[in-house]
Amino acid sequence: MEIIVSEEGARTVAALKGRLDTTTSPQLEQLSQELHDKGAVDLVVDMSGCDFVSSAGLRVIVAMQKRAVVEGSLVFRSVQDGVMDVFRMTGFDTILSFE
Amino acid sequence: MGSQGSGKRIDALSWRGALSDASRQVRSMAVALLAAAIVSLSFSQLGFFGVGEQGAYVTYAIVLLAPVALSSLLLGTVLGTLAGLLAGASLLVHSIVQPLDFYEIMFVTPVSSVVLFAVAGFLAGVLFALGLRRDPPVWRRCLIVVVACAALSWLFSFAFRMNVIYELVAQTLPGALSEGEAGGGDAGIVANGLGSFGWQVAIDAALMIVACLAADAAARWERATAGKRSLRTTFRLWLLGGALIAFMVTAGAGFAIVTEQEEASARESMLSESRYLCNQIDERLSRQSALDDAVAAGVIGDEGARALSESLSLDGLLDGYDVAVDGTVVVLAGDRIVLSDDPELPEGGLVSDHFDEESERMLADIAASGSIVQIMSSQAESSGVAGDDPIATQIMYLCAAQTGDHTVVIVRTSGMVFAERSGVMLWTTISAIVLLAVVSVLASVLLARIVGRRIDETNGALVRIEQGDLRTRVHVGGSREFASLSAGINATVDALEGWIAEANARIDRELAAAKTIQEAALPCTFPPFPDILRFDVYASMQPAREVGGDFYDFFLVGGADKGLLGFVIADVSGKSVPAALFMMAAKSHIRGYLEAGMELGEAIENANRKLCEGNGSGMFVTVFAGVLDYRTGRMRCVNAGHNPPFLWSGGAWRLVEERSGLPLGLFDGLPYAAFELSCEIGDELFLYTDGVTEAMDAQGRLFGVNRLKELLDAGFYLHPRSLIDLVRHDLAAFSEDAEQADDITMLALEFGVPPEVSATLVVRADDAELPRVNEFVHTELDRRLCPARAQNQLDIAIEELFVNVAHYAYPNATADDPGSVRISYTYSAEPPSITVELSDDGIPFDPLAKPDAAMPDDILDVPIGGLGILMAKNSVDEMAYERVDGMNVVTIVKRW
Repeated sequence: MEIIVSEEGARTVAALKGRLDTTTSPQLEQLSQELHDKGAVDLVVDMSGCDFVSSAGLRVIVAMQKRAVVEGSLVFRSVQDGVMDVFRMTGFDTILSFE
Repeated sequence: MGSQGSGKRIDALSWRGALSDASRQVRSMAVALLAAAIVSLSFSQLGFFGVGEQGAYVTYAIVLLAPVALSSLLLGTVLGTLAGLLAGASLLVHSIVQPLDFYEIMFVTPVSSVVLFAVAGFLAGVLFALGLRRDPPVWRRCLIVVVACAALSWLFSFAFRMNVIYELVAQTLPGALSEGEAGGGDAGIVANGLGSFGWQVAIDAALMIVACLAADAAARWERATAGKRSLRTTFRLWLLGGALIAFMVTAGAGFAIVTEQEEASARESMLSESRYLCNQIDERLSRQSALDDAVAAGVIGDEGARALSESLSLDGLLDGYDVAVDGTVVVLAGDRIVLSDDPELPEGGLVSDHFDEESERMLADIAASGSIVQIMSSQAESSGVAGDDPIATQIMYLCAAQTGDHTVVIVRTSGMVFAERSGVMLWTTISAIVLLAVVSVLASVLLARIVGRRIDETNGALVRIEQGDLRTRVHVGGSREFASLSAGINATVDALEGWIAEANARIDRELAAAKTIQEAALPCTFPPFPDILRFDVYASMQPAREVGGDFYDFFLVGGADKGLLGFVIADVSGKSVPAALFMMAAKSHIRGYLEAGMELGEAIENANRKLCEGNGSGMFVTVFAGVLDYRTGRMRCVNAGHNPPFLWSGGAWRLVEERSGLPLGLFDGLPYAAFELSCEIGDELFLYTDGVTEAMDAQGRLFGVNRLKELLDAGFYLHPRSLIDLVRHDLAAFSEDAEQADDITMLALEFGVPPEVSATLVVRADDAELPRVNEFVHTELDRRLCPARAQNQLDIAIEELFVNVAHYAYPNATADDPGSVRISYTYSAEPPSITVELSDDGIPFDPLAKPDAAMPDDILDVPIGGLGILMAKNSVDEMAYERVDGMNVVTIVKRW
């Protein structure tokens, strides 16, 4: 999986490209930790290039969301249908913010 | 003690007694017995065992004969003769060294007696050899020994007597001729000294018989029990032997010392006694003469002189002497006995009435030197102390001293001299026996406690080990030796266990290798011909042991363009490797002939011929073979003694009961005619071996054809793979823990449908393997034009299930050995669907047993564990869990 980080005003955008699964989710976890440590707490995750999310990916998303609840914000952008199915199936669609 | 010669004479001469025995112990035993006999008989020669006053002749003449007889029995004829020679020689030396008188020299020394003993040894050897050469039963052995010993004793005593008489005559005749009557006395004395012939033979024989019987029994016992005696018996035996030798040595030494001391004190007392008497006689005689002078001079009156003379007379000198205590004390003067304490030698008697000329001369010599001599006597002078037996012969000590014309003679019997010796020796013997008994019992008890019990414990453990209980360990302590023995046994058992485990592992490996080879021989790629869409075939075989005798086969006959599918199912009689080898031959023959273009019946006939050739082990194989023309549905079949298969046709299962002949491999040249079945699209043939219908449950009930039929009815719509899976799972449920007795083999063939496609991949149970798993499934899904969304959903299910196994199934996994996961899929075209099976042999875990994770209301409550399984379940159409043969098997189905 590839992650491209860019600035969008005050927000930091992380564009995911590829599968967010057991093998790749640690990448996102590490990145979000780094961003949080740098103080970049307002995050946008661009999911347009991500076609697959497994429970390991969800785990990372939960961790990010927990941090965002305490400080900052987390928004998911352009979620593909297949991935949205997963969010719906697990109830994440009601918890996460989308744009 | 038998011998193996052919002729009697040679047998007797070459007979070697117990020495010829093969057992070294028996030979040592024979020599030891002989030594013990000689030592103990030497004791009797010393008079210790109470031959006593009954004549020293017994000790001289007899005791050497028993060892000679014993030598002949134990050592054989030649050595027996040699022993006789030695015995005779020892007598000769004895007589020369000792300053014996005429009688004794005559009694024991003649050179001819040396020859006699040797002859005795030879005779005894011959008698025993003749009697015992065939190893007769016990009672006859005893009888033979008794008779031989008695005969020997009689012969020997007779010869000895003749010898003595000859010597007597030879020596006394010239004397008798020259000196008249005087020699006749000698002859009488010597004749008396010979003693009773009957007693001599009896005592002699008894000694020999006891010694020989004991030795013979001991040698036989030794031979019979050598190596079989208990430790305790052996120990006791050695203890007894050692104690006996110690006892003999100490008793012998004690005996010699006591004898020496008593003899010395007797000499001293006799000498001082005689000196005292001489002095008294001198004094009295000189005073008497002084008195006589005084009387003659008139100094003393007659009255006073008479009174004085009485007090000075010799008459009262021996008052207070007792013949029983002091011995015979006599004073001789001239030819008269003037004083005596022995009523046998009355005072005033003539000396010549009691002593012959020779004795008188001897007495005079001894008196002149004032010394003591040891004499052997049977004369009248001893009769007073020797009891009434006139022929009694005994050793006596004689002391004589001379003063003036008076001679003082003191004679004491050996009984008087050694009065205390018997008492001392008796007490020594009793105390030694008591000591021996105490030590023996103590040693025996200690041995049993210290050694016996531990050996029994060790043996008990060894018996258990021998019976196959290799978990037995020996823990016998108490001493360094037993601890080391225990450790040694334990180490051996450990090593043995290791060896057995290794050997088992090797056999397992080899059988596993054989199984691999056999499995490789069976087509296992399904579908075998994915491009031919006119039939679907599936088959499976579960061997009962590592390798089985069942097989199945299918192949295209003569290439794809002919449109013919050949298929075979078969069951070889017997199991394991021989069955597997026969199976390989049967399989290759049938396929070979069919592929060569032969008609089915002809091919089977040829295969039968080949299998009959060199089938020495009498094996046979039941076969159902068929050729399907998958373009027309025409099917030709041959059933050679196999179970009738089921055919789904016209909406029902029916048994195909046509038969073509006997199983293959039984009789050469049998015809096998093929029969024809006509198949419509959707018709399905289900072939199986008797391992299916004869599978047993734990109670021993058979699965049976009826249950199979019901099962097939229930799964009538299933394609070959699913149908076989259905039967397989039902069989597993039916048999539960019962051991599979026979190979279970099935083959299903459906006509007119496209084949299911399946493949299998085995990967390490590691997250890093996920991309491989995905690629493996995607390749097929892409080929089957599976929509991306369905593919995505399947991906989720596979990933979640795989990760679940990788993380939890193998709690003891290491980086090197993470465990493995088998992933297999089956694609089915109608309707398009894929069935994926994930199996692992980790800890039992049913992912479906957990309740579904609740939908989270708050992100903080999201339960991550369990979410994956929920996702997996919701992503596919079907999901099931089974524990099969120690494997977790999760099956998911995704349709599109």
